[in-house]
Amino acid sequence: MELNPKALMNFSFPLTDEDFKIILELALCRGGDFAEIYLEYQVTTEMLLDEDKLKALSYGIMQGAGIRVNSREKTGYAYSDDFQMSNLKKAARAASFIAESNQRIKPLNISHQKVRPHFSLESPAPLMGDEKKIDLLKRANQASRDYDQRIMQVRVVYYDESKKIMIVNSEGLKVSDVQDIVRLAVSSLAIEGSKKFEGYATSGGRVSIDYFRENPPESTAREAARQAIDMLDAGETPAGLNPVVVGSGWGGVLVHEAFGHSLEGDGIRKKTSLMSDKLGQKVASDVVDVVDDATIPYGRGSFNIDDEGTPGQRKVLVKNGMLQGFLWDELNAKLMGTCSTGNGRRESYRCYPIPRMSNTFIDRGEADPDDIIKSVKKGVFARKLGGGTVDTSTGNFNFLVREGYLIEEGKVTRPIKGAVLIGNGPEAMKNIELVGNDLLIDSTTGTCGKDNQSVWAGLGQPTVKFREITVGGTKV
Amino acid sequence: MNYRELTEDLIKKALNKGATQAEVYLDAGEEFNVQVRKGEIEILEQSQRKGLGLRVFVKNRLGFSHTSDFDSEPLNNLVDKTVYMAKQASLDEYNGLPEEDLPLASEDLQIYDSKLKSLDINKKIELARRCEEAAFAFDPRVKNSEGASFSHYETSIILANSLGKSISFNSSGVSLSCVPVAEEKGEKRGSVFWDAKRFFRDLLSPEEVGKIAAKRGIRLLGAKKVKSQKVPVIIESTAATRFLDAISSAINGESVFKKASFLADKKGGKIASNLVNVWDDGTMLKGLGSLPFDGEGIPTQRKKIIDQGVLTSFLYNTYTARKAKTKSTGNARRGYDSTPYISSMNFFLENGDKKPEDLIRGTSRGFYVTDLMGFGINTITGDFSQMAEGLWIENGELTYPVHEVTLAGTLSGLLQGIEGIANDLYFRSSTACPTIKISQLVLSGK
Repeated sequence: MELNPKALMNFSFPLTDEDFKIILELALCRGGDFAEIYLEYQVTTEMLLDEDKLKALSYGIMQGAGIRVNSREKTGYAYSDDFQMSNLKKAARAASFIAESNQRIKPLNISHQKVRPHFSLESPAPLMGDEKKIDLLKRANQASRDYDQRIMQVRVVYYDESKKIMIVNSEGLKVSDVQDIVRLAVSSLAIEGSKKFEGYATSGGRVSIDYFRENPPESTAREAARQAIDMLDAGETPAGLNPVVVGSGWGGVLVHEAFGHSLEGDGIRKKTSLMSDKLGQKVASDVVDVVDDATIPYGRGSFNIDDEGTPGQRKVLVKNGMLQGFLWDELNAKLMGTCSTGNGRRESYRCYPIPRMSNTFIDRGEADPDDIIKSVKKGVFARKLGGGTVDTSTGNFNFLVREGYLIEEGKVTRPIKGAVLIGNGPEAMKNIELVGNDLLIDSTTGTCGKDNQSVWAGLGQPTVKFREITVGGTKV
Repeated sequence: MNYRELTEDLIKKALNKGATQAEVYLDAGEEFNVQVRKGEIEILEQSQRKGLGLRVFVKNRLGFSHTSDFDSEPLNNLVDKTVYMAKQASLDEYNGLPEEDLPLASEDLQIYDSKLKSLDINKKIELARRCEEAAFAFDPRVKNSEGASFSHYETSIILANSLGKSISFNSSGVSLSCVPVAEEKGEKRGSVFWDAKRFFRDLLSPEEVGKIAAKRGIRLLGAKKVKSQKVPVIIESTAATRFLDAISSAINGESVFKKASFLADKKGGKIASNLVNVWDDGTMLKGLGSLPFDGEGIPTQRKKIIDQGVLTSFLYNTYTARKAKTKSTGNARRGYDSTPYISSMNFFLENGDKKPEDLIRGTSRGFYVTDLMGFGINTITGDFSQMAEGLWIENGELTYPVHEVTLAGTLSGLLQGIEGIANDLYFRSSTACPTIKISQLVLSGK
């Protein structure tokens, strides 16, 4: 077999329907309501250009199968790093351990389902030749260094992944798909005397080779350099409650963390989420619509089928501030008497699926982004947010502001350093005063962690104004 | 072919295909996890895992690959691909295997509990169950739970390179964790506590873990916001650990070389108060971060990082040490799926001589921090800002709970401002810090 992402297209899992049947029967040998085999074959390419050198070219293969048995709330899970029947049978027996009922169900006959794609890629980006990938790195490095002589270090990382998955379950489902993704990340360190700042920008998504023609590595590289240079002179951040305007695109990480996580079906079923009893109620201000959409073309969080084989869907979670629905995987949906919304996702075959977001965003509003800034007398403009976390029991969240500015008398003035935004998710959602008409979905960089599993996520929003948020700063 | 033969065979093949040097890092092991919620099993996982990483140098060019597929044909293809990848990379004079021979034998660091695998599965389930029960029993306001888990793993590492023979070791880890949810007047408050050890017999009892987890949530019920102000701060041991993680990444030799660290030009300088002594020790018996040799085969070391406030050492792997014209400090860490990066081993602030209660008693007004959250620690600029929760101190006593505030400042200011260190150092991960008192930090709130 040839070793490149192309080979994946022709790769087929070396197991027959008869093999699957044997494994599923074994998995249900102690009882249980449901058994599933998740197979994965993934190839990754990673290239690092650092200190003007192409330092490392890496190539990786991850393959294996995870076997799951559900018995009411219980999940038994085991995996194998290969597809040998002896190891898969061992995993099936291990996964069966949790079931102990006299009732035995028999797996239904397997019927292969066709996947209806939401968008198609004629030549996915990972199929680029290695030389082309190397060229992207070199161009990004050069452009970032050329931007300003105070850019002292540039680090460019190219990553792509092509993954073939197959799901076979005891309800007779058999479905398979290929998922490709690419990312180019540029970090540019500016140093001037004792002042330092590292800028960061990314490009990519579930895109074709021609994506980089329209989104050349130079623009990503210059954006990282611009951020580093602009933030060199950042001053102290005012501490305390302030009106805050969060920039479009990646700013959607705030709604993802502060709100989206509390709608995931596991916390709803267990009533550990503070949204568990809020369906149909007012959870945000009137101007707010929130959507989770796995069907967005080229989205980082998009998929034709989730990791349980359910088609990816578009769900309106909040309409005019009213809570419309939750995000479900199969298990939690079944226990709650509802249907999966196609949000059952997992990091790899080594993990069981849990409810996760796909591409989550605040939908387009009416306000002009310039007018939003003009409406603030004194406040903070968070042009780019960094990472954030949330406690889903209290709803308390925190976000790093990667690139922030003061707003004074309706104008964006000087940059501020090291600000964080903190608050309570439900309160912040009701605090949204204005939603811009400049919706932007960021498909280049989101990685969401939960229960020790990382999955790719898309995020987005238009420019959004919060009436007030606590800004963590150093100036009191 | 056993795994040792497999690694040696791959190295031979890589050399035959044109590699100047080659190295294989193979990791194979077992893992187990059971999670119990409201007394019932929620998740039970048990698997065997394996994977290997192949690092080759063609002259001084680096190629790397990793796989969980050990079949011979895919492995042969992988060798070809890795050598090909290396040929595309830049010439980098600092690349290459360590000059030192791989160590033949090392002292037993007591990092492998061979009895773990024979633990009865029902006993393991029972441990998780007892842990959660203890949380519920602690206070009637503990009304819900995200569950309690008992997990363990064991792994065998084989490292072989084209300069010497292969070396190997076994290690294990075991942990208990509990996430109760307290409720009062419509407010929910989840809290986490866990313990982790190399040996099962060293683990805290499930009752202890459950009780502490519950207490951590209960004490924050009814938390409120306070005004923005400058205030003396005591940071509880579990929360303070994240500042040690920040120091550990700021002394990473690679960041230091690139001046991408606020400590880059501070070696030999006074960076913290006189009370501060920090160690990195890869040789600590039973340490969660202890290894007989690092990810490149260099024996690990015990070294002082901060000595009475003076920065004395950075951390290096072989590559970065060559660039910085120094020697590796045995701090190359890796999984099978990565090239060796720089990381501390067991990294800790030495105990002080006060009890945590004495630090509180000696504070007339202040903020006792129990939890810190967020990404806002910038080890390049040395600025930090963290969301904080905890209890307010009045007249040397803990009073009402506080949340939705941040603490911000510079890491230098924080290190210089340490005016008290408690004697409660405890390892539940490879980084640990006792409770510390900082003379003053900026709190942002109302």
